[in-house]
Amino acid sequence: MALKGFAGFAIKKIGAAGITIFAIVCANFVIFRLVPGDPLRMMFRDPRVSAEQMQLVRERFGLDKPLWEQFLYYMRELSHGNLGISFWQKRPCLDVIADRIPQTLLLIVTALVIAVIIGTILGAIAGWKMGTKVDSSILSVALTLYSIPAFCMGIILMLVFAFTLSIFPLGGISTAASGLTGFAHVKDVLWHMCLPALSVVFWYTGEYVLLTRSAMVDALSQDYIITARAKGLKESSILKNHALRNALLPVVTITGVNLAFAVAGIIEVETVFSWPGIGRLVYEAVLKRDYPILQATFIVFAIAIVMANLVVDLIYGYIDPRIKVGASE
Amino acid sequence: MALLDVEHLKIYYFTQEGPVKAVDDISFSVNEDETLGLIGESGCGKTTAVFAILRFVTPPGRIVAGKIVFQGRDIITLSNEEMRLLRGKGIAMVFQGAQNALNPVMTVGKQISEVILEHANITAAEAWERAKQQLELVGIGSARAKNYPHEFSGGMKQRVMVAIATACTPGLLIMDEPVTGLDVIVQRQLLTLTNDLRAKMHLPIIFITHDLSVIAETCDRVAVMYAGKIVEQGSTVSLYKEPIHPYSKALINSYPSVKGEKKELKSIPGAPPRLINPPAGCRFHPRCEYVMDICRTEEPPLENRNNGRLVACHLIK
Amino acid sequence: MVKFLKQLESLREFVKLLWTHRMGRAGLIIFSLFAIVAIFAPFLRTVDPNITGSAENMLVPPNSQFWLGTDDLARDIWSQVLFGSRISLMVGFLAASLSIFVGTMMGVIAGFYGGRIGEVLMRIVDFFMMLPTLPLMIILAAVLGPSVWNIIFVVALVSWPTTARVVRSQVLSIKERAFVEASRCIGAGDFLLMFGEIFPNVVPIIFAQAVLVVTWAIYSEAVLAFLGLGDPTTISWGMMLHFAFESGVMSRTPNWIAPPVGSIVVLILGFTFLGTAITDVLKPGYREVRGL
Repeated sequence: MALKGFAGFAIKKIGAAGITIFAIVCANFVIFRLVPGDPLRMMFRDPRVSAEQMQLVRERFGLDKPLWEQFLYYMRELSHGNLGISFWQKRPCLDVIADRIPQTLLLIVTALVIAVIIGTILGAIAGWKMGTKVDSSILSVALTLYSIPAFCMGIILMLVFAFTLSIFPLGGISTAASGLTGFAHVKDVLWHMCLPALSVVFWYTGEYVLLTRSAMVDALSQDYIITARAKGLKESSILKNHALRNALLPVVTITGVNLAFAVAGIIEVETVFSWPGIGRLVYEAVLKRDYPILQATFIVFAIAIVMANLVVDLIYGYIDPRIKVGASE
Repeated sequence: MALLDVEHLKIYYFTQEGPVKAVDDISFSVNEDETLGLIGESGCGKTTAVFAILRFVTPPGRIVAGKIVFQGRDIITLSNEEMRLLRGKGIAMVFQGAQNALNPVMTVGKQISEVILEHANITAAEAWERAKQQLELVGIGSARAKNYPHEFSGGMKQRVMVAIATACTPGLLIMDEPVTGLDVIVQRQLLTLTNDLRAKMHLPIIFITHDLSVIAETCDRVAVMYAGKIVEQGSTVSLYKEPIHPYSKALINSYPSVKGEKKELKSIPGAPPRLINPPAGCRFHPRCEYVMDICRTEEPPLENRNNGRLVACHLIK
Repeated sequence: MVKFLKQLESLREFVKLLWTHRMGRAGLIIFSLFAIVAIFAPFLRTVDPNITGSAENMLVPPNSQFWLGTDDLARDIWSQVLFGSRISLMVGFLAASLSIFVGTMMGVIAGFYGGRIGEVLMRIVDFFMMLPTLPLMIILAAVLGPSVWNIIFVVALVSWPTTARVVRSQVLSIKERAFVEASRCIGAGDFLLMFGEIFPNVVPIIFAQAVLVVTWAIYSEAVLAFLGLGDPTTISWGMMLHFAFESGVMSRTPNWIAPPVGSIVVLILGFTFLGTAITDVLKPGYREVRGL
């Protein structure tokens, strides 16, 4: 069955996303059950927990049932949005996570938008002027930024700008107990967001510069650029309509794959700056060995990435005429 | 005065190993309403020569000597901006049908209208209309203006290239191996189209190929190139009937004829020389069956034989 | 034996080529520096980095005895930094080797056989590539327990798909080439073809990929250690930062923070330079451009 054009493409991609999510959910189950050792002993390392209490918990969580029953139970709960109960907070994981999502979204969206815009512009310039001093400087800066992990950058920025220079706050999302409301509160949050966002922005910009630059260099070596020159078009037209439009295609594709790195960056940066988002939640859960939260955050991140990838794929399918219009006759 | 006069053109590529003499002192001209064919083996310098006419020679290559006079102006001395205005309008080019010669994310209509818009002061809507007319002219039809290159076959893509190149009624059209790699039926269609356009627009054309039969179909005059030099030049009919230079002779003789007697195909022994260190004297002498002592030391000048034939060979003395 | 010697020779050639590249040179120097430090750490005025000390030696600023000062448990920072390079390089190379080994196997098999097997393998690869890498590593590390070997395993597990994909596409393009057809014609079996003909042509791209994976492994170890999932018996640079961060005195002790941060960044930078140099050097025509 060969579906034409964009519709066929979209259906295939959505289907693939669905299968991936299912596979992730299964994998999540497997990781925790198939690991050597009693899962219960993992959860309760405290030797004071008696055998009867362990048995109670075992029954409560259905851990005494056969594996495939546990799996079905797991799937059913999941479809109802039940991601488990946090050991440490004693509330549904879903609630815990939901509390943190807005802060993370604020941080990640701001940082990514800034990084992608600056990165693509600088990368395009570097590619267009390949071999010149402009290119080598942009390239060196980008390579350096790309080599500094987000948490290292965060620590450096914190030490320099928060501790030493006291321009920015040390962490958190707002000044504690200040009672600010409205616009003043927004300003306060933005001020707190500067350093964490910058830490993510630097690495991500480096990556996008490298990506866009190589895509640009590739595009410029194609035959249609010679054709464009032979037409006597202005350099700016060639850059915009011919080189850039083709160079941006692979950049869009990679954006989807890159989101996993954005997630990693967020976890690191929220930890360093105590930003109350999902990333920081992961760190806290590690400290407190709160496995349900770890599992739940993994699923949330994974599904978010799959969905984001799907959106990126669909966007790509729309902007690349070779897919939008379908195969040649 | 000829439309295009190439005089003693020399283009060298300066590599770390030394200069590669890709084009070493060639001269030819193209008159109004005539087609000049440029034939030779791969690497003989024909593409480099015509790229120079559009000033597409990039480092490490450089035009080291000579003049290219088009409509009275020496192209080599023009500024970048003047050259840019000349491209597409004064001189246009159709390239070899590579997969990627057309921008894959732009409609063919737009790719035609953009060259029109660049060189004429009209509105986008008018340019679009002219683009559609061009598509009609080359036999694709205006209905396909909004299609993308990947929706066309190889032959049709070449027609789009022709539509683009002729959109601004150029003073000179250069076609670099335009039918190489296409199957014969498509070749025929494209050559018919070229001849039609030439008749309609009185377009002077420089036609580059390594295929003798194509030259016979389309060109009034032909120049034979070997190892960066022109070895013979003249009207197609007479040169094909009576080639003088041993290389031209060998080329013509290596071509089978459908009618006429069965003869054994003769190939030329040896291989073209590396242009970083071409042979002394006549460049063809290592492969020539009529080679004499003087050929090894002295380069034969391009001399005017009778009735407009130019030959560079010591044999004719 | 002859083939092995030939390969050594071409390796020397390759390194020489890298030396001509500006970034390659920097990368080689940085790598050599850290390698020397890692190997000769015990002779470079160090003590056991794990030994804690008495209260008066805690958080001492740099002096003649402790060149970089001490941390909050009176451990010598200079020793920690030097021995930390062992962890980083070891994890980097072991994880990369494992990852490259698995990835190349999968890539060559998927590319060579194509068809059903290739499809299935690529679906698995796609699946792995979609997973959020850090969260996955965190969970696995948390579940498997904090040990260097677990970290190596986890890093390899998350990074082999990229190698598989890259190798597979290279194999696909090599497959098309005529000499494979020719070898088949003279009756070469599958195994021979795979390792005799195709593999040697895949080696350059494996090099480039390997450097990437090493970079990634070093980074991953540092992050996991920083988040508290490192091996507590071996203090790596990431662990140092974890301790510093948890101690609460980070602001007053730049001597504790700067060395590990600097080491992580410089080492990754070195490998990134190497990676860029390798990609450039492997491009056809590099020799000509350089006039070699």
